[in-house]
Amino acid sequence: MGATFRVVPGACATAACALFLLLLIPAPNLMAHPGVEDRIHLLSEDIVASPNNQYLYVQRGLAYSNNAQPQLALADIKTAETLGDPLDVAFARGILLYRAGDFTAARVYFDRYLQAHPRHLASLEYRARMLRDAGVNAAALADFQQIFALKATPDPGYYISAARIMVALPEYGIDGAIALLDKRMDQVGVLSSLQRYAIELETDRQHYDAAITRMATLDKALRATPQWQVEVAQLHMQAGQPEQARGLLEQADSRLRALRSNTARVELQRTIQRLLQELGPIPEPIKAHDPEAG
Amino acid sequence: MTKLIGSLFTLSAFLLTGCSDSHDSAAPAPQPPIEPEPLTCSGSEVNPERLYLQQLGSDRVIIKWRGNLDGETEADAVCFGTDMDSLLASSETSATVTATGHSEVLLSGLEADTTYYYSVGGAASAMPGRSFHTSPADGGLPSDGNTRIWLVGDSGVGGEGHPEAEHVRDGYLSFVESSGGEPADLFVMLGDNAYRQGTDHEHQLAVFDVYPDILSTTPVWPTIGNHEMGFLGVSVSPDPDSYSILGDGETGGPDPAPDSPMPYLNIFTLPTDGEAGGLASGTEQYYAFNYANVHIISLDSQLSARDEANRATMLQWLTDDLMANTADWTIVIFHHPPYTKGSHDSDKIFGGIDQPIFDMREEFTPVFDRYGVDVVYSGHSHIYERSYYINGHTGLADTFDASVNAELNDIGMPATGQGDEAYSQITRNGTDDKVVYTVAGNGGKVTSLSEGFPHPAHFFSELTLGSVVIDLNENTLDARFIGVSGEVLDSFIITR
Repeated sequence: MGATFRVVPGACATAACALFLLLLIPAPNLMAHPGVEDRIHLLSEDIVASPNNQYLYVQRGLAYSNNAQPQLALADIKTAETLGDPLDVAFARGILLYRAGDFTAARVYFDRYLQAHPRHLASLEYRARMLRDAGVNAAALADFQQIFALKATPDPGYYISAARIMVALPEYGIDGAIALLDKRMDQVGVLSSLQRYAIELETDRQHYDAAITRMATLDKALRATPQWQVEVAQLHMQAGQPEQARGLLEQADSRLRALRSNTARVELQRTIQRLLQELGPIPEPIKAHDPEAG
Repeated sequence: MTKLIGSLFTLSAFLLTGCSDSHDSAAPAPQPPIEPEPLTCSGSEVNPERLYLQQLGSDRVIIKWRGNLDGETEADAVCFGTDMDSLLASSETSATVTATGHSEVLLSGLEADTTYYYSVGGAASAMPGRSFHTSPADGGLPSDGNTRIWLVGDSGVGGEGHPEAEHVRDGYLSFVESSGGEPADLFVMLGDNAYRQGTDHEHQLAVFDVYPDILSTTPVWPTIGNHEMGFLGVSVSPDPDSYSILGDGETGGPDPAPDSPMPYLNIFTLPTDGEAGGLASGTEQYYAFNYANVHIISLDSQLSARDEANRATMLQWLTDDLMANTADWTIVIFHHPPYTKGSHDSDKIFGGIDQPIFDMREEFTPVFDRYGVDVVYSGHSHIYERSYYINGHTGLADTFDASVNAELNDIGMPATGQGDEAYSQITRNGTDDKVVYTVAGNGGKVTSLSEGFPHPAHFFSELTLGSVVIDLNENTLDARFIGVSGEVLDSFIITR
């Protein structure tokens, strides 16, 4: 069991107390992650026992890389390449180069590895992200699509990444991006994160009715919120439908008053007032012409 | 004359017969039809190697198990019911088996706030310790008025053959016994649940062998720690498919595809579609659920947090989930603490391994502030640290200014959350805008301190083993740090 040490505000005013605190700080570990030293130590021991084990050098190289020690990492990877088939080290070499920001060189290694192991998901995911980050859109998209084909539950964020890439690619555009998001939601149900990006895209191209329709598919709990009403009201305003907007804003205002105050709701209240001011007063109804009124 | 007497006799007999009614035992009244006794289950109880409850809600639960400690065939069904000694045959529900050999049964259509008993193997009666209590209907209070949550962090030392997690567990049980005997309704694990590499075998040692009696009656809700990704805890990959371990054999290897090589994701069946409340996330890596008047969110600071786009997607989901949340209380859990000066330092990223600490602090704490999160629990740093009631602090430790970032008491000092300085959910700003952050990574080990300890945001820090018990009723959140002897070492209250 470690030391039991209690800190109360205002304590530790004495030099002795401060010294005690300092003694608790393990100085050699100040710059190293607590776990990585263990990992490197264990791997080093294993390497001493098995000096020709390629896998061990790869693992230690990655540990050095995780701990931001690129020179030591590269040294181990290079050693690993001499101990067996360099192809088996290509994935790790690609990671090191990716982390160093050398995307061109990293791609060479990822390509080489994936040519031999096309269904290796970890490599695909690294390469997809690297290509995305490097702006190599078509290739990144291909990798994301391969991930979607191989994996039942990819991180929802990858669909957003792929959709963003599609928007940037003329052969897909917004239509393609929305189709991808819809396809995923057809598989798993509406996800607010994916649907919100689709709504953003519809709004960007001024398809406000489509955006409003999508807003209506969000989770029932979300649709019951004044925030949702305000968002839909804003879409109605953009669509030139002020009366629908006004109705929603008034409902949102009423709902907000029944909810516990938090910062987001306070800001929402201000937004509602601002939007109602923008809408202006309710127009007077046009009176029907009375011929007998003269 | 004889003829007359005979006629009279006959007439008498006829009259007597016609006047006879139920009092005449010679002619019993017809009985109602006897309903046959309902059939009870006829299987045999099995004692699985691991048995646990998942996704418990007001009308559903998943019972999950694997193995048979007696070495016989594994069970393939459960029976359940509200009468411990009479589990009806009509309740028998067959299991589906996952790629990693876990059997799962989803029971639905249950009554809220009700105790059910169950038998793995389908016996006619349930053995002790085979029960669960459904949650109240959304927003409602339990019948006893209180929701109790037990949280442990970094408890996975059983995977390394160390007993400290058992000491922590026993401390919690001791506290329960001494405080009225109310067990937890929820068991929350803050990550690093199975050292050192989160293999399936290490989960057996560190989770299922340490908490069997709790897991068979209390739903477990985990979050992902760095040691759940293998790599001895130093992986910086955002992908569970990069799960990798040193060696195999003794500690087990990656799980076979197609589920995932990451055992955590195969062992736990977590909501992806809002099954237990909260918004659908589309992934088990982060999720939310409701229990009574409490909303709990588990974020993924290990995987999704490590890719900017995936992190942004999780943040959008979180914002929507909090927006839709109207529960009285909101709790968030994730592994990497935004504020710590224990065995990890929230001012350092260690080359990237602890980058999530920065990202969670900079990007997520402002959302917690805005949407009325009450408390945040994390592990990772092997210490107990508890903050003041704070907001607006996203920078390094030396930028923390209690006069700006903390709820103050009547004399302008940071309020402690204790006694007459109990926190109010609606703060002095007139709105619900502050959060208490607790690091409870001391469920299995306590190690060291960082430069600059203690963090200025913290009211209390202690390098000792323990766990946290939170009691929530309609108006009070009462959080306690429990030591290995069941003693209360720290506490705070939030009222509403």
